[in-house]
Amino acid sequence: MELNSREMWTVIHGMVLGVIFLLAFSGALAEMWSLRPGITTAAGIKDRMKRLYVGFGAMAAATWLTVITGTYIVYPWYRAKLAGPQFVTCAGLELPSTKCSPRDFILSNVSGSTEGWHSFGMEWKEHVAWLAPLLATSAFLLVLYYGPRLVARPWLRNAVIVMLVAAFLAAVVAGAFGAFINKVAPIV
Amino acid sequence: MSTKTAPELAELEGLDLPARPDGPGAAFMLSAGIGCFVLGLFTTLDEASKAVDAFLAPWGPGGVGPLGGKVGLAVIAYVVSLAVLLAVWWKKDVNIKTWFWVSLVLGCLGVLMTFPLFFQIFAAEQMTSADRVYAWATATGEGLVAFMVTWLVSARLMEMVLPEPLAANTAMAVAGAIGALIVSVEGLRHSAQLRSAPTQPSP
Repeated sequence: MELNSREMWTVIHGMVLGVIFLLAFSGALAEMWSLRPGITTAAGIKDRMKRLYVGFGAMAAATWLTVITGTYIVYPWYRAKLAGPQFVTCAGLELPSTKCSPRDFILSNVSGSTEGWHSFGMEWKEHVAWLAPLLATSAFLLVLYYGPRLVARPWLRNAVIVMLVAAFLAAVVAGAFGAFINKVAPIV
Repeated sequence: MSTKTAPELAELEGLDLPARPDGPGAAFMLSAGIGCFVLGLFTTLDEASKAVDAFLAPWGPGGVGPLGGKVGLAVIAYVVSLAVLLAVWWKKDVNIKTWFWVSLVLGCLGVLMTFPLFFQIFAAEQMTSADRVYAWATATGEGLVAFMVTWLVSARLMEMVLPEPLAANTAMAVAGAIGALIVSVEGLRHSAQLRSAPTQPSP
């Protein structure tokens, strides 16, 4: 049972930070959804706000760490142009190698019709993922700024939920394509 | 104003909450919209222009390519717009609903421009610069005509059903939306026509 450094970073980027993000999102959404008037007392609201701050803060931090590790650590390994324009060194391979990067492997179509995983999947993933930290950070700042006042302002609470869910959807698109692409052409 | 609502709830009375203006809240929303829009804009521009691609490529560390420039500019736009908007709106009470909708439109445009099937329409190798300028200049002209006609007609119609200044603002918003839609649809249509047209041999 051993992981090399590239596999370890892929796990940190996709699984460790992804799990933290999902847990924080679930908690933040549930707390935000139930932050309504007439449900709890003043003491209950104060207690609930602490969980909201932690949940939103953790989600924002997790999205930043995920996109930074993904873009600046994992992505260069994916997109390295090792096989040349005709992908000669990818011929006959079943998986990417040190002479055929995952991008080369996918674009070479040596294991079936895989080109779309790069031209659509990776092209969308690498860009849309960066919407998540911007939206999650602004949602966190809104919760931090208004605090318990959100109880009395259902429209504003819904606006924060819209931003939270939009950040989640951006992360889901990026995460799902990341998982599929890593299945088709793992980083080695 | 919205800041007056907080103390009206019984469970908030014990928390001693001073009213807060909506300016900073609007700043948080709008800066996110601006960041998303800038990311989308540079994603599409990078696809459309080799000069933009060359400008964006050196931004990140080695191996990242133009993605480093796109995300770097988006984060800078987010942080700078947030700082500026907070400085301007810190103690002001703005209409946060309006700015939420503006942010939502910017965010949706950002998502659209990061969608591969959209930005790959503008791929630099598929059209010459002259063709692209022709397509989008024609579309802009058509959009301006649509904007002016819609503005004239909708201003008269809105006056009959809405009070001023809401009627004028609504007419302007409708005209702007129709104009933008016409520019987008016609720009894409002209681009598609030019790409499918046979190439003229040089004299």
